[in-house]
Amino acid sequence: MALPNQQTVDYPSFKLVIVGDGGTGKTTFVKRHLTGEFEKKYEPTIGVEVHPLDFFTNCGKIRFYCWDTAGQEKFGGLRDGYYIHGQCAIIMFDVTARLTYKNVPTWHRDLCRVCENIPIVLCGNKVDVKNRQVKAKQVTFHRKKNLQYYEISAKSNYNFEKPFLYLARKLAGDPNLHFVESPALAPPEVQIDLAAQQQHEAELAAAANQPLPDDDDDVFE
Amino acid sequence: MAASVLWQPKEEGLREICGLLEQSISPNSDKSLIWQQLQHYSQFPDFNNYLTFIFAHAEGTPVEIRQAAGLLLKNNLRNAFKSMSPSNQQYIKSELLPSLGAADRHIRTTVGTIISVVVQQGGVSGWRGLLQALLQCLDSNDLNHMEGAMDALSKICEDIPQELELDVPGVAERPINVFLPRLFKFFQSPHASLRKLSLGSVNQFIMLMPTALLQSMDQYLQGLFVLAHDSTAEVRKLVCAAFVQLIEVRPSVLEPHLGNIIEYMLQANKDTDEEVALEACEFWSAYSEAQFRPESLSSFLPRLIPVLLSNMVYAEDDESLADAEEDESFPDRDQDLKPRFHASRFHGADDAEDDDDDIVNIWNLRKCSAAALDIFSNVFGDDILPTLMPSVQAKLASTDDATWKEREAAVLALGAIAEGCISGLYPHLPEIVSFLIPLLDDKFPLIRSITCWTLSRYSKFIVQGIGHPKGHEQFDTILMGLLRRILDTNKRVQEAACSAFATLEEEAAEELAPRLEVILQHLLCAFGRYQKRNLRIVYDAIGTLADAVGGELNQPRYLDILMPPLIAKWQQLSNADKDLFPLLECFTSIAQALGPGFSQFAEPVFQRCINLIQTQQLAKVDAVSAGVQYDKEFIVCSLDLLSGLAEGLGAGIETLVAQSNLRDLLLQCCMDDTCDVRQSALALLGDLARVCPAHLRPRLSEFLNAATKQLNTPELKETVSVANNACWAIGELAVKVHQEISPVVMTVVSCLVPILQHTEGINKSLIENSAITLGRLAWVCPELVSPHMEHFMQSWCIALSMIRDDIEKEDAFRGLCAMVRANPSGALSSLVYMCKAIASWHEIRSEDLHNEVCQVLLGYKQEWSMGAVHVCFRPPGEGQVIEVSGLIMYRKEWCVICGGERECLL
Repeated sequence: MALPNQQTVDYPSFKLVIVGDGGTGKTTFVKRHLTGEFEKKYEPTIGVEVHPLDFFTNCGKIRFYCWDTAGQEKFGGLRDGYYIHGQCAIIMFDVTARLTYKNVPTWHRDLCRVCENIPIVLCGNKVDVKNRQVKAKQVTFHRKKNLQYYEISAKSNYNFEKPFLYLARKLAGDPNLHFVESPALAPPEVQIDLAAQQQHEAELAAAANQPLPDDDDDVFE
Repeated sequence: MAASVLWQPKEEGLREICGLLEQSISPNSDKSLIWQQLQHYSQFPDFNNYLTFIFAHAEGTPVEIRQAAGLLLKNNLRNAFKSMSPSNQQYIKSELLPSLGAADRHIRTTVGTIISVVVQQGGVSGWRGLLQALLQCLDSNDLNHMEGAMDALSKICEDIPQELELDVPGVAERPINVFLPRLFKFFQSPHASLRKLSLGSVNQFIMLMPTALLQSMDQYLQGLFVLAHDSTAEVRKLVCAAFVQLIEVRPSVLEPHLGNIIEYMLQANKDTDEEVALEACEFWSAYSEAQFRPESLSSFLPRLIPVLLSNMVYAEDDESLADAEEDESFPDRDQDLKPRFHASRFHGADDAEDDDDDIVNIWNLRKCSAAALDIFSNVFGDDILPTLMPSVQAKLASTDDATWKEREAAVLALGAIAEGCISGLYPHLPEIVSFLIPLLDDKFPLIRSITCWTLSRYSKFIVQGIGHPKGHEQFDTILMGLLRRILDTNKRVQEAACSAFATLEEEAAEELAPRLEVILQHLLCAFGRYQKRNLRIVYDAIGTLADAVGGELNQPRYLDILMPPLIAKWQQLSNADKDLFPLLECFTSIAQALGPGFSQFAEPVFQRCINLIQTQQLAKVDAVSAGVQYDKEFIVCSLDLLSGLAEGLGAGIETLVAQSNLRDLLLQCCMDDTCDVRQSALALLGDLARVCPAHLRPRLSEFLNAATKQLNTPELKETVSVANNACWAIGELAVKVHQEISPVVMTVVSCLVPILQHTEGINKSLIENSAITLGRLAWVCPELVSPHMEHFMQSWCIALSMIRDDIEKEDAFRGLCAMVRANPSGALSSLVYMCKAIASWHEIRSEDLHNEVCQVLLGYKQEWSMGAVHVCFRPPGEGQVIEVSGLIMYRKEWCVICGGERECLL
């Protein structure tokens, strides 16, 4: 399944696609895992960011190439084009924002139209927030579509490993597979600087509105 | 149009865009650079033509790049199709259609996705030629063409089924009438992919149920029966899904075939493919909601129930199997700890928040089958027992390791039917318990944990039988069994045992008193051993125990077991440690249970709360000098514990309050910017008003203003719990400070009246508290309130008549009487409502209030020269039997005044 240019490792690796509305915490979630090399500052995802995340199982090391896709419409890039060759997926929503759960069927549909029959985990993030809008009992989508569902908190690390473990078991076809050591995780409760986040978004939006250099104009006439 | 035919890509453009797409889907490229370039290209009017060309014609290009071009095209069309030039629209449409028959499957499925989006934008009528092209492909007999067209059609059916039911100008038949026969025909295709797509497409119309489908229902059902034994699991799953949906949406169409369908579903529950079996299992709960006569199903039960039972056995890949091995010596990690929340104190009957249990979210064949069995036990009651019990007993009796999962499933089944079948099971409860007790010590942890759960499902009935010596012995055996499991070395068993024990505690309440010592010994032993996650559950169990036994706990030998470990923990935790929260909650329950008995522990607890609040208030403005991160939960938990102390100690808290700066801290909290803090602060305000109002007096007007502000807000519905507590606190203050309340009275009344007048959608507790507080204000300041009676008497009296007898209600009626004395004509227009409110008392215990009410009624009677007047209570156990005669209701035997004993003096 290696794509052109994909750096290869000598242990099994899988393309994992992470989708869901903007602001549901996809990037924060993958960045809890500290073995990948990436910046710690917050950026709204543009198009996609790929993070290699390693896990240690009783059957040896495995790697998930996590394709952390943009949830925000304006930074979507190829959107479902990034799903091509996806081998497993996480659909994320935010239990404190009802709309993000309402959009889950759309994310699921688009995913299944590109990647048929891949294992998918539904994650309800931000269960660390007191006033949730989507109660556990209201989450029923996974029942209809045979998805696994986990409540998670990217902020407190609650259930961080569960989605990866489920996918690893499915991909390996081994229900007894387990992680033998926990990956290094960022300590819980590290607050992302909201002001910095907003400023960054503003900068990006400004950049998006800038006219681009027109040296390629002659390509199209 | 001619121009579109002539549009040709430039080589260079193709090359650049293909390169860009290749980089886009490669993991190792600079994504923000590519994103910018994409943005740049997308501004060209013929960018989408390029994408179309690459997708449809770039034969030598890797298929994933063509697919990426197609998907990007689709996304662009979703946003911009309508604003594109007609010639570009035409070009794209005409280039897409030939791809329906493309040799590569990825191209075919992608074109289907694109076509569905175009139809979403322009409708079927906006794409002349599409229907014809699809039909040609479907009728072509070429597998690629058929599959491509079926794929596109199935996506249209999924995304916009209603489009196919619209008339298309210039076409004689609605699209659905043309397609439906062809879809049915494909049910019999030799190609599994076509059977799957066609069945999936028709299923999409079940919700919509267009006339065309209704008219060909027989054909549809015949088709389903033919596919019922399809060799492809996905097709069988779709058949089951169709029946489940049909029974939900249109049960009547299935009725003539019910026997056959049930028989099929029964078989499908045994399908070797677990997804098919799970889909089929959903049928039973849908069936029970479809209002068929249960008898239609009963003859199937002897065969169905064993299937459910065997499907309840843990599947190989159930995560619980792997999770079950956790030994208590492994410390819990952050990722094992679910974030927990403290619920701020609320005065009144709060709508209980359902606890978010992870268990409800796990859905598999085992869960679904157990749920079906639970439903059957409620529908059929004891009738399922003759079928179920022999196999349950046989499985329970097995002892070998190989069959442990069957044994476990049998225990689960017993728990599932505990409520539905209790009348049949009740006489056999001793046998059931004697079967279960040994399983508490089974070698397999999942058997031990499920046995705890199942026993807890019977706890209500076990407690009911406690009066009997045998019953008491049984209760004791279970109690001791659960306590033993609380000290299990397996974390999952500890958790299940604590939860089961908490259920038993709630049912047994004071019956636990004789066993308090041994219970406390076990709980506190667990307290010393448990890891973080289960420790929280022990705190809950201790708190529940205190709530359940109340003052019984107040004995030195119990306190000697309970308090030292808790106090040691209390001292060990720093003011910044979140593990304090459950401990503070636990102390709140203990303080309330012990009452004045808590006074020996009160001072350090009180002082700690004050310190916590003080530190956090400082941290809020200056975390550095406070030395801790601000977290409002510390304040909320501390305020609630102080409330617990006030409630427990009563006036005994006075000296502690006097020596502290609680008044100033509390005032600040009443004005905090977060709702949770204000909610708990106002609850404490009310509690302090009850026991030591003198200490609030120096800042009374500030407290009153802060509380009034919570009622006087446009966001009342969002902060209803805060308003509720504020309302109650004002009432409590009013009855203590009397006239000093007068500056805020009219403001408060003008806030309360709208609440009473527009009760729809408002929290019941807020309505009750509003009615009571209005009455209390009227009682202390009748001269201020009574001139406005006419505006609120009717709605106020309706609210009062909903409140059950208690001291607060007495206060409210004192207010009612005081107002009537001050302004008798103010109640005239609502006299019936007033009488109904009076009649809502079961008994007015307070003699002086009783007399006052008599005086009020007598006054009206004299004024209106009426005959004998009886005002009746609602009789016990009967509904509304009040007759209205003139203005006053009577029914002698329930008269509130004379009790029906005699002619009323009135």
